[in-house]
Amino acid sequence: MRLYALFLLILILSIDVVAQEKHILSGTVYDSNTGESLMGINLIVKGTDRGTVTNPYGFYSLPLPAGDYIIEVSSIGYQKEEFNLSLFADLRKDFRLLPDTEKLDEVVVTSHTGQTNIRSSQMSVNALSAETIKKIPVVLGEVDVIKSLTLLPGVSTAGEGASGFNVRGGAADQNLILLDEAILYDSSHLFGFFSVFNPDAIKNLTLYKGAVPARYGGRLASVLEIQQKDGNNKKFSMTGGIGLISSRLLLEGPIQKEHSSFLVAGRSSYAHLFLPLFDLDNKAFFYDLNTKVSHQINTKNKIFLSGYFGRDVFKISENFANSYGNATLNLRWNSILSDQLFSNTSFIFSDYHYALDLELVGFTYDSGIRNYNLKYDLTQYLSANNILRYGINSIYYHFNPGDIRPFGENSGINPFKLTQKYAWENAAYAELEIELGESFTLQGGIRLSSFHQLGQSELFIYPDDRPVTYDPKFQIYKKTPAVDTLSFNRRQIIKSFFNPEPRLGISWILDDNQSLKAGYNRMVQYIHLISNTSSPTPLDIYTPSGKYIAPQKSDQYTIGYFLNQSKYSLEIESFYKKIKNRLDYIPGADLIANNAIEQVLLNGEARAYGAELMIKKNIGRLQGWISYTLSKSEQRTPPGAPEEKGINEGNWYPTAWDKLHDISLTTQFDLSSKWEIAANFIFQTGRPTTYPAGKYYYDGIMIPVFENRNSSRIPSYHRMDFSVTYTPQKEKRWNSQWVFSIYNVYNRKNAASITFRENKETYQNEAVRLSIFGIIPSITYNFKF
Amino acid sequence: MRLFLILTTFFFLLGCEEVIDLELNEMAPKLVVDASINILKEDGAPYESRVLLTTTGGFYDESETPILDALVLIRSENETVEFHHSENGKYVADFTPQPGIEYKLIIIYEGETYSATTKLVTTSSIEHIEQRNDGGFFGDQIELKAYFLDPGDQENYYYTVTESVHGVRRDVLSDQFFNGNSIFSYYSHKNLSGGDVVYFHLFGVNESFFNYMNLLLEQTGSGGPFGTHPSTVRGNIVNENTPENFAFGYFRISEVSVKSYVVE
Repeated sequence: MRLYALFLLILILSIDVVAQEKHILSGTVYDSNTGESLMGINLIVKGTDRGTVTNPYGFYSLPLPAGDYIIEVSSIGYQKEEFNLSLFADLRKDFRLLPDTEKLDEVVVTSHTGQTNIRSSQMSVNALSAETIKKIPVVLGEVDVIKSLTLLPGVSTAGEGASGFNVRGGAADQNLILLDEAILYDSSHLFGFFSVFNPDAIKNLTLYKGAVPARYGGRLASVLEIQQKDGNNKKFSMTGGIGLISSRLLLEGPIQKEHSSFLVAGRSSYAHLFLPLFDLDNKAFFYDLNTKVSHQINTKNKIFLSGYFGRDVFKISENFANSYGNATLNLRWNSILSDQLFSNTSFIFSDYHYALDLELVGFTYDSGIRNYNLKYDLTQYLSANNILRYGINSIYYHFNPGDIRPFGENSGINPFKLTQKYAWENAAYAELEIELGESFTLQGGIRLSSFHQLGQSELFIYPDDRPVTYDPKFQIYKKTPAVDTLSFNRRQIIKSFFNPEPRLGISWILDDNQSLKAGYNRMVQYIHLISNTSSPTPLDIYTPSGKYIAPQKSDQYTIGYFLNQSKYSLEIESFYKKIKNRLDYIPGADLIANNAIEQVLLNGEARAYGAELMIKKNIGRLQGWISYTLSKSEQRTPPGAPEEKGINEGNWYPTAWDKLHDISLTTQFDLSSKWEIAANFIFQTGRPTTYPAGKYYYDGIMIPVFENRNSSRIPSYHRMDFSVTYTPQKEKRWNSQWVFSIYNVYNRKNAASITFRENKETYQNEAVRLSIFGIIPSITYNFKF
Repeated sequence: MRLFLILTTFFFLLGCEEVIDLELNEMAPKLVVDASINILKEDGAPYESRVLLTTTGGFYDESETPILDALVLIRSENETVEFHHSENGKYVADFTPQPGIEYKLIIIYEGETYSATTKLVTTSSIEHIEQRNDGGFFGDQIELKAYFLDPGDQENYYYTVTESVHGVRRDVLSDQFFNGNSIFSYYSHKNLSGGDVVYFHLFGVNESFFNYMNLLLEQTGSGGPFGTHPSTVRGNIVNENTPENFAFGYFRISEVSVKSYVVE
């Protein structure tokens, strides 16, 4: 409760501050070439310490006493501009900035990419521009947002070819991935080799790893907010690329000049990509479609309609067909209610669908999750640097855990539709960013969230509400047989949860170039990805919290030191995170097409802690960063009762993505106006795995006897990548660029996994290392017209 | 529904596998019990019944470690049958289980008593075998399907073992998705060709064996980012003296339907 009191106090103080201000300067900052609104642009009142930063829609509001001012508008990637103003009444002033260079990648760079923000109380945040991402050498030349993120401190994956990413020891399903505000449930193509984001269509990308602002919620580990471009409202243009894996094309242009614009982007990999060996009717490809229409109704109102549709498709002879992916749609309305009040209303639809036809066995299967989300967010600019944000959010979920239908003429499979599940998640938040004197800035927030498991046609009832029983004789967990089945209609609520989620960030500004920051956040996650593999598979289903499954909760504490020097900036952070109600699974749990999933789930906990260091060089011909993460990520499933043993004897064990050391070096060097080179180096502790300490035979099958869970590690992972970008002289309006890259330059055979088997010919047992990518050269051609 | 295996298949298509030297720890030996008592569906005659006793060995050890000197009994309310050692840890007896009776396996080894109890589980008859020459996952292999009719009035679990000179395929099935229907056990191998003899076995098993075998089969195919955590798989053998010193393996009594087929 003390936190609420503090929050109120700050609110009262801030109102006092407002009273002293006279006039309000507000407006929007645009790119002068494309008309795109620009986020994260700094507006500084010269000769004072006042200033502000534009919001994700380019809007700013700056209350100032009457007087003459010089406003400096700047951001990395844009030419700095200064404007003289005489403020004697409220003034609306839009700024149009010229890009720094007329290069191919006309993409906005957010302020975070450059120098560290010393004053802001926000910490544990990283941003990457599409421009940076495009220059990072990658496997097969396929520009990849998620792979680029893993070069940042605190971000890793469970290994090459593992899907998703892990932030500060969190699981892949604990990341909230928002594409134009819509939740994406799976960020990977081809089981994790590539990610679903078309780099051409992306405007900004921000990753919150800790001290997450109260406006975000629903996942424990991180928030990855990705904004799609609005589309050029001045002239028609075309951007694209041809690579070894996929080709992409983006069209954008005005519908009504300066007022409305459209954007359509497509990306598709080449079919038959991975199955060249089989001269048969096989297909394996993926595609993405991004669309957006923006319309400026008047100076104060703007609407956007954006959508994404992506699929992976596999088809092998007539036996096996498989497709899955996300679809989203977002209708959004920005409104400047007053010079100091900005509102955004969104209606968002998201869907993840997985479909499988297995003629071999004679069935078709599909599963998925769908949600409808209504959001209303307000930003109130109380005074320079003091901002109040508040809003509400309501999400309705429909979970389809699986639907099996017979397929083919002589199928022996019975139709079986698993119980459909429904839930409703609501949240209200308030968040205040405020300056406390010269030396402190503070960001306090509270999010009140609720979750309701709605009625479903069948709900199993177990003795003592315990769906899992421990059998002390055989020392194993078993399903408890249900004693009753209840039926509810969808308007009934089976179980509700309410949680306050406090958030806090504070910055102690030591001088203009350095600050100390601390942060705290509590996050609550109400939906769970049911997965007992090292990294999620496309097949995994989501399930809501409810009668038998408690919401996951995490508390994260962070402290950090931030320094800007003329050419370098330094960020050091340390974090400690505790997670409650992390699901674990009884050994051998069948997770697919299981109508009583609660019978195989156990309640565990997790913790992660570590330190991160990042040194960036943002200026000059040589740019780049070094990031180092020293961290531990563990989980355990203790016994629920004294006679039980828990999982792994109830002891802590490392998660599949626990890596003690994770170092990456990312550099870019401008050789000349035409040539640019880039190189990466990555070193990581090998991921945990379980080795056998013996074997036996049962019915002729060789069975390895494994040691404690994740008690060993595969060998360390390291590699170096290299790329050269050649940008020929611009011809009329045609810009082009060649990217030549080599992945894993010294051909290190990194282990993706080590498995144990009996040799089929010699019957001798052996350990087998699987390595995925050796040295891979590639070439990509990019163009813009 | 071991669909993960399919995912893993894709994964391995891209990767490069190499046998490596890797030093492993070695555990203290533990008893392993492979006790399978079978009678034929068709005439109730004993079929390949045995109790096989070994100990665990180092992972790379070539030789098996049979137990030659254990006392092995199967006991019911009415009778006690002693199994005698024949060769390489195999214990046999003239024993025909009856339906509905609970049997207890008792093994006395190194001064400790291990036991397990179970009942005979019935099975369905393999009715006919269908051959397709454009089968297999990629549609380029000979595939065989041995059809049987699942009884609709009960929950059934099956253990299938299908064998040819090219290799053995083992699987466990639950009738959850095909209760009361005609369904098949599946066999395919890239080298399968005309004249090859394939033996189909359909064992009736209980739910607990189904779970046990499902987990064993999962462990042998595990690994990679889509692999599940390997774990110690416990069967139904209990050490009555010191429960912590448990034995691996399983004691089951099954009815089995056997059919052989010559590939055309």
